[in-house]
Amino acid sequence: METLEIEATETTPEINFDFSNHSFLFCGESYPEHSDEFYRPILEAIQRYSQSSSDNQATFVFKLTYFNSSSARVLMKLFELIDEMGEERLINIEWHFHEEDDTMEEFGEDFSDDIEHANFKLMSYSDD
Amino acid sequence: MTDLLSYEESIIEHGNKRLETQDEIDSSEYAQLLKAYVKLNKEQNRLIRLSDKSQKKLSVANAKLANFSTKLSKYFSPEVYNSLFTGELDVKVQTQRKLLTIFFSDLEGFTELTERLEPEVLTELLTHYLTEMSKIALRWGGTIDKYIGDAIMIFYGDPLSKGEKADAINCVRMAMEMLDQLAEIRAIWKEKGLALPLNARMGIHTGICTVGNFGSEDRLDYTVIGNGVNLSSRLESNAKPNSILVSEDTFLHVRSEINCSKNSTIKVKGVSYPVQTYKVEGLFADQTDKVGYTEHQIPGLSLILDQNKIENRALVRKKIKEALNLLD
Repeated sequence: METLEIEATETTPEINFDFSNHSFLFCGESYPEHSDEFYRPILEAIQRYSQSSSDNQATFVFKLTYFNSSSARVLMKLFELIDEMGEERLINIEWHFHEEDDTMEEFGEDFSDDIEHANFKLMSYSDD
Repeated sequence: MTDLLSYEESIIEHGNKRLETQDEIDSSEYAQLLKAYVKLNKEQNRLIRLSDKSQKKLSVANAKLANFSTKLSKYFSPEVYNSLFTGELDVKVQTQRKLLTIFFSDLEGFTELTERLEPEVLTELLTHYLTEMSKIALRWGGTIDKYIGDAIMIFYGDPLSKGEKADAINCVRMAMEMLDQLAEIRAIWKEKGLALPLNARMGIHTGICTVGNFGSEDRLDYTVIGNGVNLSSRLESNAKPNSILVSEDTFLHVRSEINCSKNSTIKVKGVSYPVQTYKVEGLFADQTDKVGYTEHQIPGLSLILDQNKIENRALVRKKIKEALNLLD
């Protein structure tokens, strides 16, 4: 599968899916006017990846600083999909949050509750 | 491939179809429905939490912004501040030519005061004076341009204007109230033991100026420039202590409401002609000499009759008769 790269905009995060290295990045803010339109091809790409047979472990990196309700809904679907994928292969999820951003930390903890078949790591970062 | 984003819709659609067929629903379908409902319930709770957290964050951010804007507002004239916050005034280098009334005031002998007084006392005195003067300026709708030590520069006509005449009248009335207030401040400080009396000189001119945001793209100053500014500053320095000197241009705008006496002419750098000045005496309504005064401005007629200023009554009668004859 070809790498999927979407540059960040003011309302959408940077997306970088490097299928050959099995790494998936979501970085930035997410409050698109039409979340479904923005995320549908992204979810479909992950679904296609999940159907491909692979023994390699995959890593999903989330470095989000803000997301709105409709993006949160999509994220929940995404975690559901990733968790299902985890039944077949080794999956790592990295949830990065700024050390002073309690909200993002809490959301990471919240999302991690739903994950049963993947390693969910909460990772704080600072400005340095 | 299942469309994850319309999964719930597909469950609802399936449920509706099954109800229409009136067939008995088997336990696996019921389990699927229950699973979808549990998931939805979880999603709903999480979204409510997200919404509540966002709301809380927004409240905190709003409170911070309100606090910050309150602090920031003290650096601007309310007129400018409001125009900025409503978006009427763009934050970019942008100027325009406009008829404005500009006010300058200065405290007589302030330099001597700065040498005599302790810095703390001087700060208290200056804060007291500028606070009281600013309150009056804002009440009369003036845009406070700047304080330069004890000097104050205020203008009328931008960003808001009530009309050229009203702007000029409001400016003069503001200056008059400032002088009244200064008398009270003077008394308070005399009581406190201030040896030198506080006396202000004030100058006002109405003229075309350039107003707007001056400076660079990084640092802007909302102010007014032009000969009119220099002229009002010169009027101020020529005014006697505790008096207001206005130019003829201002006088022509305010003469129906404010009694002014003709003063000397002054020469101003950049102005080729001698500038006629007028001293503000007070409001007509305050004085008995309002009796015998009439003013009418209607198309084809401009009449100002002030009996108290007539020097040659016969000549006035003759001129009025000549004017009446023109109508016959």
